[in-house]
Amino acid sequence: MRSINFGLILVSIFLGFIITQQFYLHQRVSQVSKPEETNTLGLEVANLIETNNKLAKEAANLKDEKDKLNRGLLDRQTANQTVAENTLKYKMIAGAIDVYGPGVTLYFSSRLEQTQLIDLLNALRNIGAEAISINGERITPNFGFSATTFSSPYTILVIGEPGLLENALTRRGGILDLITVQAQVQKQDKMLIGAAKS
Amino acid sequence: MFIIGLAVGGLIMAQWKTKPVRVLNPVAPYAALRDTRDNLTVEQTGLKQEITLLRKDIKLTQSQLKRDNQESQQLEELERLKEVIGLTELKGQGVQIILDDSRDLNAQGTAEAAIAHAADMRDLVNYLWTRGAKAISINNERITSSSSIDCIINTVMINNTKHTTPFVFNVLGDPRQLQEALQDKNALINIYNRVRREGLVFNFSRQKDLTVPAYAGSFPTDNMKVRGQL
Repeated sequence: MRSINFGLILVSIFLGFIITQQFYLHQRVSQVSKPEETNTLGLEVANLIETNNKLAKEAANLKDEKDKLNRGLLDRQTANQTVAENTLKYKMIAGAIDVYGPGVTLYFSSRLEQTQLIDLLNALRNIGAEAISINGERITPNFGFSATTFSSPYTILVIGEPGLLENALTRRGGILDLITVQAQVQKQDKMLIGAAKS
Repeated sequence: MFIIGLAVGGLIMAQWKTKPVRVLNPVAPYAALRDTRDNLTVEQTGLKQEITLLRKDIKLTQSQLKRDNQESQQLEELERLKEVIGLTELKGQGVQIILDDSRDLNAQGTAEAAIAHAADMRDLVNYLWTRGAKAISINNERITSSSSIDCIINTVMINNTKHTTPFVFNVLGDPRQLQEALQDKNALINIYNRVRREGLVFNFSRQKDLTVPAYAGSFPTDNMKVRGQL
C-alpha cells in the first residue's frame, strides 16, 4: 500500500511537471510570435529600408555639395554655381517658382471632407510627391486649409514618379481605398504646377 | 492507476514530439525581423545625424564664402529659403502642446478614442498652419512639405521615424494667437469630445523660448524641373 502511494505521488509530481512545462512553452511561443506583431515589424522594416535609401542619397548629395563649396573657397565660380543650384532647388521645394515634370493628375467630382483631403495630402507626401497643387493652388511648406478653402470638383496635380504614384494611390488598401472616394487617376509625362500666389 | 499511466504516457509523447526546432519555427522569422528592424533604426539615426552635421558644415562654409565674397545677397536669399523649407533650426516664442493617450481607467467610450492617433496630429498640424504657426516640430521631428505622419498598425511614424507617446508639439508663432486657436472647442471638436469622454490628454502652454530643430530628412526632387532645365 505504501509503495503504491509513493508511486502515485511520484507519478503526480511528474505529471504536474509535464503539464506546467507544456503550458509555459505554449505561452512563450504565442508571446514571441504574435502574428500582428510580425506584420507590424515587416511593415516597419520595409519602411525603414526605403527611408534609409533616401537618407543615404541625401547624405551623398550633401557631401558632394560640401566638397564643391570647399573648392569654392578657392574658386569663386564653383562657389557661385553651387549656391545658384541650391537656391533654385530650394525655390522649387518652397513653391516659389513654376515647376514642370511627370506625375499624375487626380480628379474628384464629388465633395471631399477636410479630413479626407488632409489624409490624401499626407499620403502623397509619404509616397514621394515633389510638388502638389489643388485646384490650381500650389501647396507650400506651411500650407493649411479650412473646410471651405477648396470645393468640388477637385483637380490635384502631383509631380513625382508617375508609375509609383499611380500604383500607390490606386492599389487595394491604398489611400483612395482608405478614404473611400472615387477618383480618376491619370499618369502624365509632363505637367506644369504654378508658383504659389503668396 | 491505468488512467493516470495513460495520461502520463500521452504527455511524455507530447513532450517528445514538441522538439525545439519545430517550436522555434514561428519564433525565428520574428526574431530575425526584430533584429533587422533594430539595426535599420540605428542606421537611420546615424544617417540623420550625418545629414545634420553635413548641413551645419555647409552653412559654416557658406558663411565663410559670404565674408570672402561680394555676392552676399545670393547667400542671404539661400539662407532665407532654407528657413522657409525647414532646413534651419529656429528658436522663439510660441506654444507647446502635449498630446497623449488617456490614463483614465474609468473613462467612458471606446479604447480607440482614448488614444492619440496619427490622424489627430495631422489635423492639428493643418489647423496650426491656418492659425499663424511659423514652424512646427513633433517629438523633435520638423514638419516640412515632405513630412508625413502615419500609423502602421499600432506604431506612429513621423518623418518615417517611429515615435511613441507623449507627442510633444513645439509651435513657433504668436503665443496668444496660437493659444486662442487651441482653446477653440468648436474648431477642435473631436479632440475636446475625447478629452471629456475618454480622458485623452491634450494640454498646451505659452512658451517664451522654444526650439524647433532643422529637418534631418530628404526632399524628393528628381522629377521636378524649371523651364530652363527642360
